Amino acid sequence: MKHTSKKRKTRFMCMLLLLALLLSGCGGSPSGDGNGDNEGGNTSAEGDYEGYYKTYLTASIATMNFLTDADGTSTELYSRSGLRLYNYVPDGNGGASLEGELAVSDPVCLDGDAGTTWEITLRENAKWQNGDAITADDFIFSMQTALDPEQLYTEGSKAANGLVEIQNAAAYLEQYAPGNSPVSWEDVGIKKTGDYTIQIITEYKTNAEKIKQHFNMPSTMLVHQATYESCWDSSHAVNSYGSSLDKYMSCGEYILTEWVTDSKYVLEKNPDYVHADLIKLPGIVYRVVADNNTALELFLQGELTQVALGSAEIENYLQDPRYMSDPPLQQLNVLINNRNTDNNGILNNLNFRKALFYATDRESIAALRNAIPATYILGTKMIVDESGTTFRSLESSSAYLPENYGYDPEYAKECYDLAMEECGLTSLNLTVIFSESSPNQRPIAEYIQTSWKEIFGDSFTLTLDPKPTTVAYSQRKGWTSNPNSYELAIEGYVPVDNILTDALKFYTTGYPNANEYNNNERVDALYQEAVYGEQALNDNDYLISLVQQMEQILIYEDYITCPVFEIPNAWLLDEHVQLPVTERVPGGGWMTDYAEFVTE
Amino acid sequence: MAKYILKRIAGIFIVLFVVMTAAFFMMRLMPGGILDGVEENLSADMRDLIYAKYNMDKPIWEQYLLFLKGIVTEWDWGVSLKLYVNVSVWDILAERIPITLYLGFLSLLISVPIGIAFGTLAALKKNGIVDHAVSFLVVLFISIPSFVMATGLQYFVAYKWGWFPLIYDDSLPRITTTFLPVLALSFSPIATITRYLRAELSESLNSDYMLLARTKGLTRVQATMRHALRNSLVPVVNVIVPAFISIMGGSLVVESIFGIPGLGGITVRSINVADYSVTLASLIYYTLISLAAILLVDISYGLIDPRIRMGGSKDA
Repeated sequence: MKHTSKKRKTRFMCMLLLLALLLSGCGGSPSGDGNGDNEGGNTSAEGDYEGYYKTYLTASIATMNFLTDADGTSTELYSRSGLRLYNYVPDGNGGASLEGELAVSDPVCLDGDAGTTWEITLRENAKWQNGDAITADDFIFSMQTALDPEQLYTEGSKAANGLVEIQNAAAYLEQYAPGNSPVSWEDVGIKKTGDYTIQIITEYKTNAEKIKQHFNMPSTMLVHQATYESCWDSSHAVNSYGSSLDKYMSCGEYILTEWVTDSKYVLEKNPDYVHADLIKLPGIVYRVVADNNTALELFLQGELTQVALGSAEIENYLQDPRYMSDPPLQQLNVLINNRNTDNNGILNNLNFRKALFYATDRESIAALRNAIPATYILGTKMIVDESGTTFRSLESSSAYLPENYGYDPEYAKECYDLAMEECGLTSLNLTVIFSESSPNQRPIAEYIQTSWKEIFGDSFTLTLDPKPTTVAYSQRKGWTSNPNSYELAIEGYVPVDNILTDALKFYTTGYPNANEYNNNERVDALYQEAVYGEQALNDNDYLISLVQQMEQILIYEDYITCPVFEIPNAWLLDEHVQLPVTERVPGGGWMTDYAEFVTE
Repeated sequence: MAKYILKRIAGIFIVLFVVMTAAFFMMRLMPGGILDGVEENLSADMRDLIYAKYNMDKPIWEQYLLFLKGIVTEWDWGVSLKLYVNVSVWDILAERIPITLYLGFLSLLISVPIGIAFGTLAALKKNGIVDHAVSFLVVLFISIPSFVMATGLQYFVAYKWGWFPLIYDDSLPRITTTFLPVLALSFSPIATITRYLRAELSESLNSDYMLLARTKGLTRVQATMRHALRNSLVPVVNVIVPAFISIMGGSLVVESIFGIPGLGGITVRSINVADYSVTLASLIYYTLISLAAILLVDISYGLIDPRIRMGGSKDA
């Protein structure tokens, strides 16, 4: 009996121990150290980070190594804690301009009219977070790392030829591809000419503005050599730089000081930053909030300084003084796989593509998502000059846009009948694929399924095929190996807002990852001229006219794709925040890193 | 007993191997790849080089052999290529398993006594108002998935009433910040245990040995606690394992809703972004946990009811 009682006691003690372990957290936070000193009913950490700008990420950061950040989850964090040659800085008058960050001044051309050799002088007082001085060696090491032919960082390609083509940089990066010749680092057009001077040599003539924009890209930011080298694995094959707080070194506007994996990241003002006097915030806190509604609830509770609004929420906050809106960032199109050979190749029939274009009631579809109807490739956010003039606001860019947002059901029916006759079809069943998780793609698919049938008649059927995003993506890109991989697809894209030609590259022949086949020599020639031509480099009006010509050919001659709408970008901002700019800066955003809290 | 446990452990390894192999091939055959979303900016050469670097240019069976070779020779399960770039998958798991286990075990720890209490109460007051109320709750808890419960709790308890934080906050005591997710995960196992125990206990309460116990002078409570409940718990233990596995399954989504930095969130995300190594490792982990839980329960039969002997041969 005594033995049984002892056994029971032991069991009871074990249970108590287990309970205590569980309640105490058995293992602590994944990282970081919570103080855990909140008491009695205070369920918010509102009291912490007083005066900090509190924002959120929709997913945990993948890495602070900006060279491998495929999904861009940590862009904001490394952009604010890293240093580049040039960056956007508020001008004090509600605007911002691209100024030297590590660079002292604009690049200086050393070879006159040739415009291929540029010298950049670096600041002598720039420091890493640990106090190490930043010199030209840091820049050279960073570029060498970005272009490492063994590591093959995905962002390396941008560093090599994102906006200017650096001499032999791409060849150096891709030297181990079959058939390529070895390239020595000495042959790459990035040179150290002094402790604080570097030289950039480009393949083609370029200008100072393009050089500045190129070295504003995150892929050209600095990497701390000692930290990077301490992050190699034992076989020197995998480098984990940027995978945790101790494997990253800040040197930008802010210093990364806290990293709670999948939960919270904190940046604090860097007193040694070159424009530190312009930074008003003590820091920025990032929480990971995957769900939009949760983020909105956190904002309404005062735990976030800003929150993005979903399309469904916009109407509720249009009159709210905290409401902010940007030019749309993303455009949605119905892609037409013109290489598809099914249905006697009707998707390659110009009349059929025309029929789809004119049968699309963009205004009604856009109304479903509080969106902006689009009949173009270059969206409303694209700007043409430093003053912020948008491409779409130019009279010459709107002159060729059709009335009624291109909706002409009668003409669409005529084109459809003609196409069916030309292809020898009496009935047609097409399938449209789209991402099942996208809130914007399904409304388009459902609307066109009904409206196109009403216009084209009973001979036409559109089947909806929602898919997981990655599956839809692969199927769309699969046409290169299997021309019949898809028929129609709904897809959104986000072009870079200050590079006019960015959205058009998808429609050049041979572009490796296009969504649909295009082979128009005129477009190719215009694109070459726009990107590499000397006149386009120096004459902005000429560049604009080239872009307009390309857009007209692609949409109103080839009907290569069917634009539908642009998604508005709306958000709420705490009423106590004063932003340094009055309008969103293309390439620089709203510059919330320079924001400040005002009491009144 | 030891021989039985060793045999079961060997079986676990075989199942793990089968799951790993099946998962490897399924994931590689699924559309999508490590360069989804970045391909646009890469030249064909660059793309081919990256695929070659990760052996993805080779046939799938060869990739599988290389993967096995890595595990056998260097215990190398690979690194994450998308979610936590270049971090060893085991480091990723090791950092997140504690909190996922914490949620799972705490939910179970809450569910079992509450489920037993509700089940006992319902059985003792069978067909009374208490029984009907408990049965109603059981139906509610079983039919509403944990992620719906989680969303409801988050909206009402955290947002509307402000009793708990909306999402995980490491600066608050862990019990506070994980209370709602644990609660959301507990409803279904509470209902399952209640339902089973009520059925078993109702039967036991009407059995002959209960009559004998009462005639020996035990009170109803004494007889129930010492005899009926103990006998009814043996089949209930059987549902605790599925309940635990269901908690772990529920945590895949509930963790995401509350922003818990656990394994659940990354399993879902790794599948979405085709981060093969992470998906595979987390699948292995979930399989291992389930198999280990089953083994533990099988062993515990003997502890709960000494008449049950594990691993004995028929003629023993």
